[in-house]
Amino acid sequence: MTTGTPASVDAGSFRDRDGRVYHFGGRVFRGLSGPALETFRNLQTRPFYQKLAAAGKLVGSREVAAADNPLPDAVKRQWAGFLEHDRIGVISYPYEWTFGMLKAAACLQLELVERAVNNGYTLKDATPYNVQFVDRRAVFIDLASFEPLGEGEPWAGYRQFCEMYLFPLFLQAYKGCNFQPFLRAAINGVDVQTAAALFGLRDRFRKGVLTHVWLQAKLDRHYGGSSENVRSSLKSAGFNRELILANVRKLSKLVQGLGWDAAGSEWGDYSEFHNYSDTDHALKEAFVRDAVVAERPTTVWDIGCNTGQFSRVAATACPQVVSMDIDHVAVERLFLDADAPDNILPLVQNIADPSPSWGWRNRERSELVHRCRPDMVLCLALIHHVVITANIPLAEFIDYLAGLTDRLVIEYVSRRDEKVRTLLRNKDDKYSDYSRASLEQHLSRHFDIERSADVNDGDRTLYLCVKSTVH
Amino acid sequence: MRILIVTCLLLFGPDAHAYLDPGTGSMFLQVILGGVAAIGVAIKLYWHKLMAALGLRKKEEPEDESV
Repeated sequence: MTTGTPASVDAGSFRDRDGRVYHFGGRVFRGLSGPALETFRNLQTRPFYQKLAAAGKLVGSREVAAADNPLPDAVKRQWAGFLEHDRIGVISYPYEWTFGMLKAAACLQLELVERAVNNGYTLKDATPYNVQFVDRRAVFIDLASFEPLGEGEPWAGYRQFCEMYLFPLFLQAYKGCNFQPFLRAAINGVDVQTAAALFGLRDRFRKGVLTHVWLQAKLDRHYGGSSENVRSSLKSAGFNRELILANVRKLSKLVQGLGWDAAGSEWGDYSEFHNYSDTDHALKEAFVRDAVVAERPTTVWDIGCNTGQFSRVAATACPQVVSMDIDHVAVERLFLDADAPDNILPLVQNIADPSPSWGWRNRERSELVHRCRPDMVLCLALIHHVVITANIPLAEFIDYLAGLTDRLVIEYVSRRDEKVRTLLRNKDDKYSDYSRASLEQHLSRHFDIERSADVNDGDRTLYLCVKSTVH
Repeated sequence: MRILIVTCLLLFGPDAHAYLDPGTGSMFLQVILGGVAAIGVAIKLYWHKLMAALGLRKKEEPEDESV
């Protein structure tokens, strides 16, 4: 939930006509229709809901008294009432998550449906955009999704659950195929027919594929154009909550049993086999620690974090670290590491192709920097991948970083370095801009170089750069 | 049991048309996924559709909470 101009409407909250999210003065509000407000009030009295809220599974929320509501009258008139939500530190999207994060979100979604249905409620949708990560735990943020369960009603969110959670998890667990590009390519996820095309005959023997993919696709094709009122047919046939519960419980078991063998990554073993001596490694850690302690940033981005070695260092002296890497395995290891600090948010992110603004009017989902602007960026052992692997001109990369942050810790990796030699081995070396002198020249266009230190016998150099405007 | 339910649904369901109604098949699937709890519902669905096919019952059920 980004902070916008005063009383800006959240561009991604338009789908449910029973509510809308607004940002005002750094606070987050949700306008609710009359029925949704009544549902919220009733829910608050229910023990199952109170337990979920007390366990931190629902975003902290409270109804705002009309007299205390700071929103403009034009907004207030549109809704029967308003909630205020606790702010989420950094909003992230499912295509930035790891397998473990999507699985955690799916388990939370299913738990909420089960508890709700057990108590006469349901959730009207099942999208991971309604889940966020706070202190590394999944938290459900769309309370307007709860609604009373009508007699004989099926679970309306089942299909969406498959498309947004289950099929992407299947892709990763069963095919070893990264799910993020699918969720970034289609706002509604992996549709049933696409999933059926992706899972072949052999896959039908894998748990859950035959029913949730193949059979659903078959029924979808058969009934797709039907004008029959299915809800009415199911209701008159006696469809009941036990059927939903049976399905949800089986889905929970299925999802919990899904695993992804996160081996074989190019970078996943980096932390065990880094190109440094222990002394150089300690020197690098000390450089990062000193930089963070001296500059006191509130939000650090660690771009190219690998398994988060230096994110952990930054996290000791900074309230929020966003750790991103192109490598799904490395980021997954960081997420699954029980010892990792809670103030690290791990994200899968390719800095050469970062999350775009897209969806309805290209505003429904926003690019990462609109959701969280860093006041310090770490770029360690990254620059050679950006310039040589991704072919991004050095000057453009530094311009980009300067547009992002006022404080930068960047590491230059010289051409003598083994990794650089490996990257260049099959390429024509047309990277005349890739030199230490060139880097220093481009950095000095935007920053003052406060400090630098050589590591690895001068094969690598660390810089702390700060814009003169900050001091 | 699942095969029986699927066969019922496919045999007695309405004809498909060219455009998609994204939730219909998924809603029927929930009956199958309900497992044992769904047997009674599936039989009733089958019975209603059979009656409709034989012209002994109107195909479109009105919204009625009494059934």
